[in-house]
Amino acid sequence: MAEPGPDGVSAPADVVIVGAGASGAAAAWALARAGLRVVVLEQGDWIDPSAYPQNRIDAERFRQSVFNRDPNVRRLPEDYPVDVTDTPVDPLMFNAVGGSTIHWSGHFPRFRPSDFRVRSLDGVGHDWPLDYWELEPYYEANDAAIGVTGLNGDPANPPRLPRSDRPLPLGAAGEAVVGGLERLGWHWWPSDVAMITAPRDTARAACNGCGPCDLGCPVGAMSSAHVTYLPDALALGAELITRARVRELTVDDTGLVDGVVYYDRDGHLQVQPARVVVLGANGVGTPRLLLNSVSARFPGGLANSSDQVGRNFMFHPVATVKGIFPQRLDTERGPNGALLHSQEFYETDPDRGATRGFTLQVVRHDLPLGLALGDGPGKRLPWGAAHHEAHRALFSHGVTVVVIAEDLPEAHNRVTLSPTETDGHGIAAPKVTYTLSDNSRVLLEHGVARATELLEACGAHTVTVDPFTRVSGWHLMGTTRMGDDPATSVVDRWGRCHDVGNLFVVDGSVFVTSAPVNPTSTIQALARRSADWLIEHFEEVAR
Amino acid sequence: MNPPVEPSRPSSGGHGAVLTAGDLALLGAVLDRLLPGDGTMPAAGDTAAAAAVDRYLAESPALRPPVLAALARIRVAAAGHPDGFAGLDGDGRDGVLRSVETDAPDAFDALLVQAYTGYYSDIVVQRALGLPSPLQPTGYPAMMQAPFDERRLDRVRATAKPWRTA
Repeated sequence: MAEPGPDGVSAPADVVIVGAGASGAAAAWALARAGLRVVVLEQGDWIDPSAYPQNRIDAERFRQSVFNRDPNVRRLPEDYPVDVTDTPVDPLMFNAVGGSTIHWSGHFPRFRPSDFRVRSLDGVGHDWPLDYWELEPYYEANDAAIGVTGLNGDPANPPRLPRSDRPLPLGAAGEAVVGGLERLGWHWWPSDVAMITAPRDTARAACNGCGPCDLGCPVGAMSSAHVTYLPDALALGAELITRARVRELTVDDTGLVDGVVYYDRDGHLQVQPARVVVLGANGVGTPRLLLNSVSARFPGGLANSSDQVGRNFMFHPVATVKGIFPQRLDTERGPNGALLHSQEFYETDPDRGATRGFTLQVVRHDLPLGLALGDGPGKRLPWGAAHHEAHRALFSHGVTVVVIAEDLPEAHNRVTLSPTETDGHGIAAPKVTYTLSDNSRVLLEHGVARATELLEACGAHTVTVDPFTRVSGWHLMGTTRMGDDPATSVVDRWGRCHDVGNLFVVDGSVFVTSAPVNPTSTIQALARRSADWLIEHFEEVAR
Repeated sequence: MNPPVEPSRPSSGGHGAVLTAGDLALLGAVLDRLLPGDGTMPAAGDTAAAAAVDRYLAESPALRPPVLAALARIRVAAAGHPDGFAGLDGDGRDGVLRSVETDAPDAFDALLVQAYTGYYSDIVVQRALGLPSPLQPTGYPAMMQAPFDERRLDRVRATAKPWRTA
């Protein structure tokens, strides 16, 4: 039986962007600034600043429910389920205007030049079709546009312009960890963080160190997409439609994409015609959308003649190592996710028995309820007379070192469509299939050993380890890989699909390799680079 | 979203949104064994934790079955005393709770999670821990004003391995 027709057809847009997160917002701003008519479709809503949990005394409670990082826990109407029956890591994301930049630490490192040449240098993975220096101006422009704290001059990374905002203070926790790093003689540097330490405009106050950045930032200090690119894009004329759940992309007789079909907030089916479509729906949502966009011309999903859509899925495998100190470290105070990092073990070392490397990211994470419940590498604290003594030993006394290992692309790690699960509109949910490689396992083992060594050098009396953290799938990468060869990649060096000339991908799906660092600065730099190319070639590629 | 939650008074014998007066009285007694006071931290019974748990159950129906099951198990385990759980001394109460923890671990853990949540979401408890309550708009602005001493990086600048050329 034929499906019912749409309830409405909107006026054509020059560009429709799916997703109002880090990449979609950056692209929307750039394209709107060029005078294009941009429509952004976002399945979530705006979050009222007054609604952030930090405004409530029961803030931590919301980690268990509507502000949880895991859509399978939140299960809000704007979420879609992710089938995780075949993955040891849970994919994390947030569906709202601003996307997962609402739920992040803002840790904002760049890739290094070597990260774009892993095949040439280390004989694994694939080289990117661009190099660091092609991306460098976009890194700089992006940092300046959104506001990034930090300090230039790190000898372990290429030079960069002075950061817009001064580095975050180390605090007692940072001082303790730096003491250990100095004793060991390892590299360390204050993290670049997508955050401001001085007020920027009426909507963005300086960070006041309230703590749990991962619950969103009520004062706008975090440089999240909904307080940076999106307001400016809307001021430039872009249109944002919230609670728009895109069902599929549609194609014309020539094989070009001619628009998207989506359910609006009332459940009505709408058509948004477009001359160009840009996907910024994250490394799980974008392949899901392409695989759900089946037509006679593209029976295996859109842009998938290579059978590469959804393959090469990369997380950053994560281990968490926590040290407990005799002295108070005030770790309940200050931005919790990005204190400093060590890239001592970033590059390949043959003595490790594994290729590529890892970063040690030092974070605070000590709010009282999480400690009592055993969040992180901990366990539920005992009830009864022993409870308070156990809690006192931990509260404000712990530092966590997060080991972030580089994940390499493997075709069998992939996003497909779930045979059993659908979202609230009956659209097939994504299924993630992932196996930790031997290489990644060895990197994590080395990372755990080094993190333990560091914490002991800092004076920790107790170290607890989660050797492979399940709730760690923040970074979703690789599922529409970028490359010059249409047989082995989905998009070209500009994010343009090989199979569909007016379809672009700008999120982490395009990553060729993952580097052992958080991806968002690279995602946004790539999105802006793709947008600039599209602006220059719009009439050539538009339908 | 609701406005910040202010502390409510400990239950004074009335029923809650979900819990009966008897449930609330039992919960209050249980909370005092799960989270007793110790001179620095208040006993859960001196906070609004029981009322908070009742509110959580009202807001999240999925929480109700295991938590109510845990309370029911506690009642059964304490039925040997004519006054039930309330009639037992401290050791007796702890023994009942340990037996339920062993025999119905999932239900007991669900109750424990809500107990800890209610306790650590209480303004009295948070102030005892030195937290601004709520975290915003106060935060820790003085800490954030502390300068970063760049001299701490002198050794790294002088000795770190340079980035790998490609």
